[in-house]
Amino acid sequence: MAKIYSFGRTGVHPDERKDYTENKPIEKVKSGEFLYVAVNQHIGAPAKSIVKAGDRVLKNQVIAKGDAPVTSVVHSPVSGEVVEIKSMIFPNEQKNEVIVIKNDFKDEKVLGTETKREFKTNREEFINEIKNGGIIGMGGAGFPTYVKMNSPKDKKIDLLIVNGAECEPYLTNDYRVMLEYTNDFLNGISIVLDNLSIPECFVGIEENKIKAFELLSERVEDKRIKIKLLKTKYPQGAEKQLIYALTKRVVPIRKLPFEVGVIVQNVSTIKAIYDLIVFNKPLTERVLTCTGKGIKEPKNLYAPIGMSVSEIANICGGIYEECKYLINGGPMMGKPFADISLPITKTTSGLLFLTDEEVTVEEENPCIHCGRCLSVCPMGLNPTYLKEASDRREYEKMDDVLDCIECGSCSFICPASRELASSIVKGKQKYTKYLKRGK
Amino acid sequence: MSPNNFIIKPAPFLRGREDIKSIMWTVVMALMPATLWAIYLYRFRALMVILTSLIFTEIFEILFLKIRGVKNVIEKSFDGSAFITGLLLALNLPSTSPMWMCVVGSFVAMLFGKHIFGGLGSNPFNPALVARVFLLLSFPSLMTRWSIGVNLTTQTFATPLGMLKTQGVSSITNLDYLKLFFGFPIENVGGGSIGEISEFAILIGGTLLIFRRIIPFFVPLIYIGTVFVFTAIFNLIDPTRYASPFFHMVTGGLFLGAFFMATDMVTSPITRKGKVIFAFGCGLITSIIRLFGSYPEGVSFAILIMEALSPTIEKFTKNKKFGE
Repeated sequence: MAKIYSFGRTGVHPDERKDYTENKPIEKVKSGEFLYVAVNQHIGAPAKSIVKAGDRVLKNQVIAKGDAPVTSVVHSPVSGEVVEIKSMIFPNEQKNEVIVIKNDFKDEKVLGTETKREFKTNREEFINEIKNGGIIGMGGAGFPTYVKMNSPKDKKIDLLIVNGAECEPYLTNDYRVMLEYTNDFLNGISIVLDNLSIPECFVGIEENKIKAFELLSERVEDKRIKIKLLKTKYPQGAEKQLIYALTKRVVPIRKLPFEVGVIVQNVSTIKAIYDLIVFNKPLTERVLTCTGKGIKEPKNLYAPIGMSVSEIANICGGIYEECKYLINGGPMMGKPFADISLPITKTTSGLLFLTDEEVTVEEENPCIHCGRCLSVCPMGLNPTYLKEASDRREYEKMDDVLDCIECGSCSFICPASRELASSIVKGKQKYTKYLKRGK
Repeated sequence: MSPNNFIIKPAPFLRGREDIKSIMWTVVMALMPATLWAIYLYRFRALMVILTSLIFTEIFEILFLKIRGVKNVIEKSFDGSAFITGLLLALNLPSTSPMWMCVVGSFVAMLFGKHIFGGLGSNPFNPALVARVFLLLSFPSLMTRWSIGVNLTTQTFATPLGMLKTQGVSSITNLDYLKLFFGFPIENVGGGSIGEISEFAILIGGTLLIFRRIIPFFVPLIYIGTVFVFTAIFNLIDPTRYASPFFHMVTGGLFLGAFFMATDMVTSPITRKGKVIFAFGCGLITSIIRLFGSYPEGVSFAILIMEALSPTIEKFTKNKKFGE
């Protein structure tokens, strides 16, 4: 048996609940009549729409971009006409410009896109291509991939880690990608290794996805790629924890993985890089898991980015009346959607349609000081005190909020049902503003 | 058919299984061996002490929750925390306690031990201990009338620790430590508080708590271990003045305190390192009081003193952050 890697004694063990969709092959979904493409799907400087109502757009045409060092571009997933550009409210009261495109079903592509090409070039051009392909971290955070690859000159990168942990319950999208696009995935890794001159790659996969581990171990030919088994534990796939689990390298506090010579990429991101480099196909579609007891036919879908949740729900047989929660992402870190008309984005790894039975909502009780949040926090923080400081805006006690990775383990374990993570995440925003104001 | 508005709630959407109720009622379960043994030894007397304390802590809990304007009073009052306080208080009283003293104890525990600070989670001291020490200082003679088992006469006796304090080492050398450990009555020796008699019974409950991961094993281990080492050192220096460490293990409230009070989540430090220091301090102070103090027993005082130091200990035992 292979060695099993893990990140230490912290973390939690939520129910996995992957059985709804883990054996469902990915279904390719065709775009409907209207697509709602959000302008900002990434972390970083906001992008702006470069089209206006009435414009005709081609498939794969750039329709929004930013011009700051850390930003991203967005492409049209279909050919058609821009109907309007409207503002929609995403979770956390975030306003986002959404480009509404009426599909003309002609599937007219920008010349040269989605055709096989020979891509032989240098590192700079490769990174630039990733930038122009609109590729961002598809695990959920949405950090622009080209920034992640553009390591400072003085930092020697000797390892690429591909995050196949998929430690969030319910989600099976990365698992299905590894099973069904095995060769694309492995070739994608080789492409990244070649272009960034990285000598080695570890693919970390949790034990509950043993089939993917076995398949990849069997198929892998590139000697630089090593498939590694991880213990099923949350948050095994958190970047710093994953690096530690596989290499025992500790990313210093508030530093990036560059610091320890590592770049981490998500499974779907690797697949997107493969599609971009080999087929000149920018990121306009993704695999996502639609699941939960609130949806009639849970599925893994390969859907165009910008498709509305209601359309996706219909593809999955519709929603049961008992469905009370709609979550974009996994159940530990995902964001609640209030409105079914919102579209999916590049970071939508899953849509969870959950019932009261699945979501535990209990009244918050006073902290009994049990210390469970401290013992599960993968960053070694004191969540209960940080929550109190955050709620009361006690800035002098809040500095540690910046180290929170928002994994939600503290709220998960809290016997008093306290919303620790949520308060700390809000505290992070308050504290960052406070720092900007200047003490 | 499909609802358009979903409930907005912050992540995470899943929760672990343990809640305050399950923790508290597990602690109650863990106290059952000691409770049943108390009832077996003292029958009706123990039962009355326990029931009075339980009923009145619940009554005062409900009363003070109401006064504080807390919602869902009845549900909150049965979260198990008041039950633990009532039970721990009873287990810390002599079998001869008059019922009114149990009522006073319940009142003090709930008002000055708990609700005056803002209720569950906000109290700096263990409510049952506050009540016990209050009663000990207010009614010293009533709190030290120790009888022997069910054989209820008006006659009372000194506990082994009391004998040691007043009559010296020679008076206790003939005691059967194994009998003391299992909590069997010994002729002419007072039993002590009803819940602390059988270290064995406490150990069974304590083991349950350790396996359920409700208390960390190292707190009772360090507490009891410190008392052992400290008393052993003095026993080696002068065995005619200082009793054997094994004697200290099987007498008094050491086990009850180490497993059920020094592990009180609310009042002990939240950090692991802090808990280690806390347990060590409890052991040290207990030993000092037992060896050199004027009271025969020091567990209650030791834990209360360390609880007072708990916030300070926390300050100096911050966790190391990942990557720091």
